Amino acid sequence: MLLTEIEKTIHPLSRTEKLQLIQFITAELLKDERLDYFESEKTYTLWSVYDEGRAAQQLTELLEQNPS
Amino acid sequence: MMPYTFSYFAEQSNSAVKANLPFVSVTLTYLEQAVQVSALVDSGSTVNVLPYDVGLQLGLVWETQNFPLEVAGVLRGSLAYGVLLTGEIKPFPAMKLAFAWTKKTSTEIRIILGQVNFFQEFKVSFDGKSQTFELAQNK
Repeated sequence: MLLTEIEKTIHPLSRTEKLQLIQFITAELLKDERLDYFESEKTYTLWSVYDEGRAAQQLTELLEQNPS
Repeated sequence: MMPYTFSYFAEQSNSAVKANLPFVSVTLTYLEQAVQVSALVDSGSTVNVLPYDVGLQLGLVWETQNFPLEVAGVLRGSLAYGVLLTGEIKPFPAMKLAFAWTKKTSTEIRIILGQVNFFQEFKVSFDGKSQTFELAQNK
């Protein structure tokens, strides 16, 4: 289907339908860019141990106490 | 030593995540015991993390540890000890890595290479678009 034909098809759509179409196209583009890692309604584990500043300080001291 | 490029890959886990992530194969050694594992290279983690069962595979003994860590964040509620291991990521020479050895098992937490001290040993560049990351060992 040519783009001009698509435009003719889209034109009579309601505002809501056009917004739905934008959402659909956005989702398709994200798939193409492999950014669709996460699905809605699913729970994912956060692996990062991101807030252990004191432990990091202690490990640094452990390394300093045991130089190569 | 020249930088070396690694590819992201998806590792099986209990979670539903199938996304490719920057895992790297590393040989961890404690005394004479070595295990080869996949570790997550994680700039968002403040420390390297060693799950309990992997520590046992390396011959570490929980009851004889004498360097308790003060954990207050994600690891809160789980005891952790500081342990020194040797880590080797080919083709780089082996290095000393300090880990938070946690009572959490590998079903609960990943082997993580974090800021202390992996990111002090390596310069790391991520490229999510090409699904690769580059390691260059700091001198």
